[in-house]
Amino acid sequence: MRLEEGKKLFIRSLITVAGEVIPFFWPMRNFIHHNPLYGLERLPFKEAVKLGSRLFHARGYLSREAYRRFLERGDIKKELLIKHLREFLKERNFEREQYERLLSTLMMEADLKPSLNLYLNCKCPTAKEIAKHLEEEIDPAEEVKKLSQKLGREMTLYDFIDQTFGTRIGETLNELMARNCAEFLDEGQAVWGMPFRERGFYKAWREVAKRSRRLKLKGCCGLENVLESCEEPEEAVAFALGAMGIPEDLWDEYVTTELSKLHGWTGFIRWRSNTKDYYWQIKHPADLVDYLAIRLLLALSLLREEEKNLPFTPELSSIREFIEKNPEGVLIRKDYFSGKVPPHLAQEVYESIELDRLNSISRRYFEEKKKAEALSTASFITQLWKEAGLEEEKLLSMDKAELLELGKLLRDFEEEEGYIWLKAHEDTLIERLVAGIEAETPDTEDRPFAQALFCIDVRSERFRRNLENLGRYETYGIAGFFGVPISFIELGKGHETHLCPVLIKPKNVVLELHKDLKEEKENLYEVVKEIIHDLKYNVFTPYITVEAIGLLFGFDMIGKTFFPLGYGAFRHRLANHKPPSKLMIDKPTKEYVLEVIGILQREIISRAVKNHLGKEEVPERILEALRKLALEEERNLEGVAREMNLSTQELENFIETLRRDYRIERGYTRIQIEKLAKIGFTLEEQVFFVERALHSIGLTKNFGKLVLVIGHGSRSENNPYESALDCGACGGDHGAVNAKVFAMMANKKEVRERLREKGIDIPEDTLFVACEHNTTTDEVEFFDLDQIPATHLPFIQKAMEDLKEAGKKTALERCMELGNDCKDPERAFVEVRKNSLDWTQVRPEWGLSGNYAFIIGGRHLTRRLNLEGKAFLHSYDWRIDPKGYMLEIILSGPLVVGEWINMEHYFSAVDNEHYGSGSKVYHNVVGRIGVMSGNLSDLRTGLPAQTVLKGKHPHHNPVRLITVVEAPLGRVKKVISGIGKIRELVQNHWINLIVFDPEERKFYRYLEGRWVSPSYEEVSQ
Amino acid sequence: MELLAYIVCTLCLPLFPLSMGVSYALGKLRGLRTIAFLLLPLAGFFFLGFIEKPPSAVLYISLFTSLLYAFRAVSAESLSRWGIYIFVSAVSLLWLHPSGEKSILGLFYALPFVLLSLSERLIAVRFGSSDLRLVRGIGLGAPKLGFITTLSILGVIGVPTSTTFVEFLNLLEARDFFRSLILSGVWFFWGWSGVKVLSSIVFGSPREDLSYEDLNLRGSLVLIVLSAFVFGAGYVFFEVLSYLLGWRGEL
Repeated sequence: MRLEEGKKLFIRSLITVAGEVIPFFWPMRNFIHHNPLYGLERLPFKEAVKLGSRLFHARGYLSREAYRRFLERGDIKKELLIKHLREFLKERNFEREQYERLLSTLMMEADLKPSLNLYLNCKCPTAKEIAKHLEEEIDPAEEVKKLSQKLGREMTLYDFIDQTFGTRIGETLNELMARNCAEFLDEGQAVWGMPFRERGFYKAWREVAKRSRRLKLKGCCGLENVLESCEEPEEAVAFALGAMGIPEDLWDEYVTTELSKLHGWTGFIRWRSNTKDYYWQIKHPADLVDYLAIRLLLALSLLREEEKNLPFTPELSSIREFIEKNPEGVLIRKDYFSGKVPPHLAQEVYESIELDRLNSISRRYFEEKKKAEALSTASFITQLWKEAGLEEEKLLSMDKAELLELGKLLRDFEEEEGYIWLKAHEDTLIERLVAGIEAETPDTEDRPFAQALFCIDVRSERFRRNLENLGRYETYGIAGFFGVPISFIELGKGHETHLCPVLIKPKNVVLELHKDLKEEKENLYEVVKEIIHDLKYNVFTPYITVEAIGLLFGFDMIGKTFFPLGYGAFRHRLANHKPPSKLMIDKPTKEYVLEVIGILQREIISRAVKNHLGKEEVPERILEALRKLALEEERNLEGVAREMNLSTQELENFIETLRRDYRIERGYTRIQIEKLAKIGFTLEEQVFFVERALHSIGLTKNFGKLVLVIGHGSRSENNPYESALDCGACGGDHGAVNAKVFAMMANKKEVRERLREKGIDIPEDTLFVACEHNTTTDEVEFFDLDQIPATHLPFIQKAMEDLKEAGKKTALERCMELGNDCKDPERAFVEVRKNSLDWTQVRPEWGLSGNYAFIIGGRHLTRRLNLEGKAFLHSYDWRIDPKGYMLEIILSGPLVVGEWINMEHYFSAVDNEHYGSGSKVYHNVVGRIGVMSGNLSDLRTGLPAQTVLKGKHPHHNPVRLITVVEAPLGRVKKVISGIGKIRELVQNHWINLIVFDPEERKFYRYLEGRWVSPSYEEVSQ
Repeated sequence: MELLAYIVCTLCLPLFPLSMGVSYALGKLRGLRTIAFLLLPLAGFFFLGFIEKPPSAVLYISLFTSLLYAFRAVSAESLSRWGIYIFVSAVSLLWLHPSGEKSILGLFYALPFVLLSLSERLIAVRFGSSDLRLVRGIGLGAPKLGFITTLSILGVIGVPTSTTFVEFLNLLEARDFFRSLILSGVWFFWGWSGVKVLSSIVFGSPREDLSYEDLNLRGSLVLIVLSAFVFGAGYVFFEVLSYLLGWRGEL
C-alpha cells in the first residue's frame, strides 16, 4: 500500500494534533512535575476534569468520606460548604429549606448511596410506594443510538466488542503494546536489546513481528501480509483505519481515544519525539505515528481473530448495523459484561446469553431493571429523608413530577458534589491565609547580618522561618535556578544536563574542570563496585558466582537494612570522592577558542602521524603545518612533504585521512568553534542575570555581609522518584551548580561595577556564598570555602552554626509530620538522616506534598505565619517594578511551574490509581525511564501513593493553587492580560488568584470572571 | 447390596456423563445445596465401603471426571457455579479410596464445601448473585465476609492444612505415575481457578452502586469455628482420629 506524500503529511499532522491532550512524560531520571490535564487547560477546570475522567477513566475529586475528614479536622468550614450548596440549589431553582437539609445531611452526616441490592431496598414500604412514581421507561432504541454515536469516536471497536461479548481484546492489546514499548524504548537497562531499533519504532517492530511466534500465541492473525505491504507507519495507519471502516472525519477522535489507552507510554513517546537532541531519540527514533501504526495493526489482527465468534464483521458500519437491528440484546449484553446488571438478574441473563435467547427475556429484563433502579433511588431518597429529619408524609404527598425532579436533582448533585466540596475547601484555606497575612510594609534600615536566597520550593518555608528566628537574617524566595539557565557538563561526563525549568532551553554551557589537574587514580572500592555492577547484569552470574560473592551482597543488605546510619558512613568513607573542581563561567575569547581547538587538533594529528606514518616525536611546527593544510589555510604541500620525507602523493593521502577520519576540516572546525563559543557567559550576560534576579526579588540595597545563595537537592536510597524531590526549577536536578554560578557572577568586581551603574550598589564587603540545602536531611553544605577571604571567616562560621541550628528545628517539624520518633531537634536530625540512608524507606520525606499556596510579595506578608512548609514563597517588591516587568517574569515562569506541581499533587491525591502511580510496593523500574506496576503495565505517571496519601487517606490537601500577589490591582490586571498562559489559568479557574493591593490596602479575588472583595461584593471587572 | 451401593455411589460420587445431571441439579438447588454438599460425600463414602474393588475402568472415569470438572472450573462465571464444579471434581475422586474406609472421612471431605456453600449463600442473599463480573471487592467492602470467603475458597482448593489438602496427599501414590500426573493436573486447575475467583470476588475495588453489608459478630464466629475445623482439623484432628481408630496404613 503506497501513500502519496501529501497523505502521509496529513496523517502525521492529524496524529500530532490528536495527541495533544496526552501530557508529556519526562524520564524519571529528571522527574518533572506537570499537570496531567495540561493539554486541557484551554477548558474551564470543571469541564477539563469531566473530559479527563472520560479519557483516563479517573476521578476528578475526592470521595465524600475523604472530604468529611477534612471537615472534621476544620480544613473545611461548614458555613462555606452550606454557602456553596445553596448556590447549587439556587441555580436549579430548588431553594426550599428541605432540599438544603436533605443535601447537607447527605454530604455531612448520612452514610447512604443508591444501591441495587434488592434485598436491602425491599425492606422499606415507603420506598416501594414512591418507587412506582420513579419508574422511567428504558427505551433501548434511544440508548443504543447514543452508543452508536460514541462508537468510532470515544469508543473503539474492540471496546464495544469487549463490553458486549466479554472478550479481552483491549487488555491483550494493551499488554502487547506495553511490551513493545518497554522493549524498544529501553535506555540501557536490558542486557539484550531489541534488534533493528536504529530503523525506528515501527520499522524495528515490523522486522521482529514478521518472525514472532508470541504474537500468534496471543491471537494476532494475518499480520504477515499486512506487514509486507505497509512499509511506512503512515501506510499502516491508513490501512488499519480503512479496514476497520473508520471514516476520515472521525479519525482525529478515534486516534485520541487510542492514544489515551496507555497515556504513560504515549506521553513518553510524545516527549521524546519533541526533544530532538535527546540522545536515545537520535539513536532509536520513535514517534506517535509509529506507536499508533503498531497499535492499530495489532488491534486489527486481534479483531480479525475474534471475528469467527462474532455475529458481524468487526468494522464500524457492520457493528452499527448490528446495534440497530438488536438494540435490546446489545444493551443487555453491555450491562452484563460491563458489570452493571442488577445482580438478582445475573443468572438469568448469563444463561440467556449462553443459549443465545436474549430476545425471550429482554422485555422482562428491562421491566425488572426499571423497577430495580426506581426502587434503588426510592430507597435511597426515603432513607435520606428520614436521616434529614423531614416528615415522611411530605415525601409521600409528592406527585410523580416532583419526585422525578427530586431524582434529577440528586443525579445532578452526584456530578456536582465534588466541586462543591472543593470550593468550600479552597475558601476555607483562603480565609485562613488572608487573615494571617501582614499588610504592613516594614521600613527598616538596619543592615542585616546576612541575606539568604532560597528556592521558592515549599520546603524552604520552614527553614526560612527557623533561620529568621535565630538572628538578623533576611530571607528571599527565588526560582531555584536563580534565573540563570545553564547547560552543565559535569567533570568526567560527556553530556550536557539542562539545569533550568523544562520550558526554557539554555544557551550557555558551563564546564566543570579539575582544580589541580592531578591525574585521577581509581580506588579499589570503585573498581570492585564496577566489577560487581557488571556481574549483576550478566546472564551467567547466578550460575557461577552466587557461592563466591553472594555473601558480599548479604553483608551489604544487612548493613543498609539494620544499620543505615553507620553503614552509610562506612560506604561514604570508602567511596571515591569527587576531586576538587571549578566551574568555567567566563566566556572564552575567540582567540582562546581557536587556541584550544588548535591544541586539540595538533594532539590528534600527532597520534594520527604515529598510527599511519609510523613517526614519533614530530616537531610542533610540522604538526601546525599539517593542520593548516588540512584546514586549507596553507597550500605548501611540497615543502612539508620534503620535511617529512614523504612524497607529495603520500602527504596528500594523509591529509585526506585527517579530514575524513579525524574530522580535521573546515566545516567541522566551524561547528567546534560554535559549540565552544557557547561556553560561559559574557560580562553583559552575567550583569543581566544577576541584575534581573536581584531586581525580581526586590534585593537592590542594604546588603548584609553575606548573601547565602542556597540551592536545594535531596538524598535517598533505592528511590526511583528521587528526582521528584530535587529542584524542579533546575530540571529535576540539584541546585548546587546554579547557586555556585550565581555566586561567582555576583562576586565579580566587573559585574558589581556595572550593577552600580544600574542602581544596585553591592558593598565591597558583601560576599555571595553558594550553598545547598538537603531537603531530606536539612543539612546545608557550603561550597568554595577556599575562596572565602579571611575577613569573612568568622561570619561564615556563624552562618554555618545558625544554618545547622535552623536545620535541626526544621528537621523536628518534619520528623513529627512523618510520624517518626523525635523528641527534640537533635534526635530529629538523626532520624531524618537515617530516613535518607534507609533503602527500605518508601517515604524519605513528604516532599512538596501539602502545597496549596503561592505567595508573590515581600516576606513581611508571611513573616509571622507558620505555613507548615506548604507554600511557595517568591519574593517581589512592587515598589521597584513600576512597569510590571518582573511580575511578568514571575507569573509566566515560576507560577506556571508552581501550578504544575500543584495540579500533579492534586490529581495524584484524588485518584492515585489512575492519575497517580499507585503504591511503590508494586513498582518495577523499566528501561531506566520510569516505572510500571507489576511486570507489565502502562508507564505509571503521577506521584506514588506514599507521596500524597497516608494509609488510604489523603495527606496532601487537594486544592487549586491559591496565588496571592502583592501589587496594585491595575498592574496585575495589565500583566495578566499580556500573558496568554496565565490568562488561561486564571480565567479557566485552574488557580485561585488573590491580589493584595498595597496602595488601597485591600484584598481582591478573581471569581467567576470578575474581581470581588473577600466579602464577595463585586468591586470591579 | 453391591448393586445398590453402585447405584448410590454413582449418584453421590458422580461420574461422567451422569455428573452432568448432578451438576445441573446442584445448580437448581440453591437453598439446599449446603445440605447436598454435606450428605452426598457422606452417603457416597458409606456405600463405597460395600464395594469390594471397583473395576479399573471406573477409576479411570473418576480421574477423567475430576480433571474435566477441574478444567471447567477455570471458566466458571459465578462462585456458585465454581463451587459446584470443584465439588463434582473432588467427590468423583473418592472412588480412588480402597474399600473398607470409614464414612467419617466423607465428612472431612465435605466440610470445606459446606463452608464455601454458606459463604456463597451469604453473598447471594446480600447482592442477589455471586456472579464474578458483578460482585467484587468484598474484601474491602465487607471485610469479615471477605475473610470467610477467602478461607472457604482456600480450603476447597486444597491449601495446607485443609482437609482437602490432607485427602489429596493421601490420594497421590508415588508408584502410580499416571494417576499422580492426573491428580497433579486436577490440583493445578483447582488452584488456578480458585485464585481467579478470589481475585474477582474478594479483591479489587467495591462497586459504587452496591451496598456491602458485612457479617455480624455472631455470624462471623460461627463461620470462623467452622473454618478452624476445615484447616485445623485437616491435619491434626485427622491424624489423631486415624491413630485412635487404627486406620493408619490403610490409605
